[in-house]
Amino acid sequence: MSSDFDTSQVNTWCPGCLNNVVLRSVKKTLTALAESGVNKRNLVAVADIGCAGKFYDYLNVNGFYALHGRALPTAFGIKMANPELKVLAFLGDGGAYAEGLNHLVHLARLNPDLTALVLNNRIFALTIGQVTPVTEKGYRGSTTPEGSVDSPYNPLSVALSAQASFIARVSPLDPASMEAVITKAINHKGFSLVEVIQPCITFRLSDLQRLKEKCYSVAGHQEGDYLKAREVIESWNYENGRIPLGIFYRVNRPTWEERHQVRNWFRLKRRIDKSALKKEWR
Amino acid sequence: MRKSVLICGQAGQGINFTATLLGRVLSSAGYYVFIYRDYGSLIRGGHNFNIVTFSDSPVHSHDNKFEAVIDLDQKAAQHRSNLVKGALVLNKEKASQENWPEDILESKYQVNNFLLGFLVGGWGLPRKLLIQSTKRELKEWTQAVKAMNWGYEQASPREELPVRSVAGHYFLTGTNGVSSGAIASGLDVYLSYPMTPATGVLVELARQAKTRKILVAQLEDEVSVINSALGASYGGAMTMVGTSGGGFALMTEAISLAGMAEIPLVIYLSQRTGPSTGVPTYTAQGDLTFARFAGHGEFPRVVVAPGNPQEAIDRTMEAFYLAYRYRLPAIILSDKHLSESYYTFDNLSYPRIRPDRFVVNRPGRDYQSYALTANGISPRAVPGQATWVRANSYEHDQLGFTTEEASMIQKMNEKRLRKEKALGQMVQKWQPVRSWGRGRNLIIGWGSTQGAIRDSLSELPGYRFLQVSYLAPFPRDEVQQAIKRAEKVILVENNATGLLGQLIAMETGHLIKDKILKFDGRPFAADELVDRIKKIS
Repeated sequence: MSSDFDTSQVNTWCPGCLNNVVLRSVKKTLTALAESGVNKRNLVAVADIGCAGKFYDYLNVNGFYALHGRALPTAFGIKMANPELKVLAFLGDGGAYAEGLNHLVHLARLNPDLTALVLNNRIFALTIGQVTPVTEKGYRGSTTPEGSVDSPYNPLSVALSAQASFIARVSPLDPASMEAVITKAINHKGFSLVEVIQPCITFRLSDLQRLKEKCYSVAGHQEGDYLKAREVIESWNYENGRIPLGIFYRVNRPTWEERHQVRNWFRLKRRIDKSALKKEWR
Repeated sequence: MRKSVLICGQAGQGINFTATLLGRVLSSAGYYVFIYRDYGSLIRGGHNFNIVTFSDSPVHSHDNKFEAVIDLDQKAAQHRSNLVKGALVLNKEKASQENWPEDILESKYQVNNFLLGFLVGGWGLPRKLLIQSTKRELKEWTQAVKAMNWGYEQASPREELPVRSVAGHYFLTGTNGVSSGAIASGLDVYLSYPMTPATGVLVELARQAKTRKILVAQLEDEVSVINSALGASYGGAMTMVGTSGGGFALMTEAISLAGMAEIPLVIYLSQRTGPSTGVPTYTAQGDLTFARFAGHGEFPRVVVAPGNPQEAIDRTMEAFYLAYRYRLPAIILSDKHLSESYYTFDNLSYPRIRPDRFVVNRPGRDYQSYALTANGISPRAVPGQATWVRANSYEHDQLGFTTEEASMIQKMNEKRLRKEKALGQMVQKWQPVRSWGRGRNLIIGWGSTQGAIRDSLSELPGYRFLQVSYLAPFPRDEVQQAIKRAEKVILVENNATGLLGQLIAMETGHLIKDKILKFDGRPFAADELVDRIKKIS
């Protein structure tokens, strides 16, 4: 199926990589957005580094291929320049939960109007198989040959504590639900965090079966209830147990751009009165 | 005539306020003023001081010989060896001798105002200058003016200082200059994380944000600051960030990103004593090499080093112009001494550089974010225009898509580096070096040492001063010729190893043997420089 958002770049993800499913869903979502009247020239994809970063090359929109861990501040800056832009950031669990966790916390707190898709396969894949902060204890990676002795933390719980206004988890094994949630995330006014939990078919193939068995949808969950959100988010600790999918938390708060009265600076015609500037120092 | 007043006390006693007010009074009376601030990294207590040096001819630095002292913590004795004979010391001891009213001397802040009134009254300067300046500095000025009047009336004539007729002196710091230059350049977004001595620009721009319609934000760290700034610049805003050495170190990965993705950005770097945490509130010129070479990989950049607030305005406007026209990072290298000292000018000028985002009006369907051009500059577009705009930290092709292909990697490197040639020609018209005085012997320096060096020239016949204002692109020919023509060459720097000397050696092959270096956190004073230069001669 071809799309307006296709590029002619050669796809270098592993054959069968589920990122392709996510890419297809994002293109469908963007197509629907464009059809609903969103100016597609206002779409910006910001990419982190790693397999998730390659979305930059495969999506035909405005793009910024940022530094590792820094996709979120880069995306935030784009909103500071022009709040009319729709910004979608693509990160992996390395960029969002390891190198750039700091920024995730602050964006959750500050609530700029943008969407972060975190493609979480619980592995550093592009550097050939090392543990991340959300890899389960005991995992044997190239830097943990005896098995990791450290436990993961729960980044969605951290985001909730930091007052993120939209928190969700989806899986490419259920593309229809994934598309619906991503669309809601993009339309959410404020910072939306969507974790895409997925198997890495090269380094963690057994996750494919595990995710099929363990994931379940939280249909009927009350999205505006903070305590319920905490309960469902903390019901999975990134190790054992069933994995909830769906929108866990959604509330409306004023965005950073609203609070700071950000405008489209590029369209602002400035008249600079140098003699007034000079007068300041008399 | 050239005099200095020492104002000393604990942090929190208002000595900066009193010194600034005295500076303002003298400046409005037609005198040239320079104020040096010396303080520790604490909020209350300690022993801080300001030196207010003034004269009826231009002053560019402070002296360490004081004619009068406003001594708020009875510690003037520490400075005894720097008092001229018969210096006037105003403190509690003096107050009890003079039977000044006790209540005012016990009142925090009003004692400053009383003593200031006394000092100014003794010079016979018009009271109205004092009151006008106070009203300018304070919203609630009634009590202060009362105390000043009181002090003024107690003073017996000491020495008559005439009011000089001048068109009007401008009185500002390097911080003010950089802030004002940025606003004059069309600044839209300023991002920073507080760090001495760069915080001043954040505070000054926050003060002016509402009236000038600029977005000023303090973010969680310098990494976020510069990456957000690059996002904002890509998004179409005229953007600047500010920091000191440690924060700049955190920014270096993204400086390389600005070079690679060719995103314009102005970076204000105000140096303090290093390495590491160093001495936060003291000065140094230790980051020249770091600023000049910061970032992995090879890419062109601009590094300008203003020497006074007028140059801070000039060089900031040039930095904006060059960053946006050539799509690269431009660093304004200041230091604590320039950022926080006050200077006076007969007149101020803003260079005739028109603010320009250098964005193409109507990018066509064939627009390429990284078009290969003869001068290396690819036309700039911003998202929201009728095209796709890409910025890539990865090596890329002309459209901005990622590439690992050998010939494209080479072409893009060449394209970026080609900008250096046009850049070098461009800055020729902006005096990349400045020369002061005449003589066969040459003093070479850069940045905030300008003031002390200029003030020392009158005592150093046969010397001229060459100030290097562009560290990148480096004015190789100008520096080379000046050194060749000179009989004796002396390098003056506020650092331990002579970093400009090293850069000159790299760029021209000349090794400067005679160096006058100072690296105790304190700036040079002119008399000290004269002594040290005469020792070499």
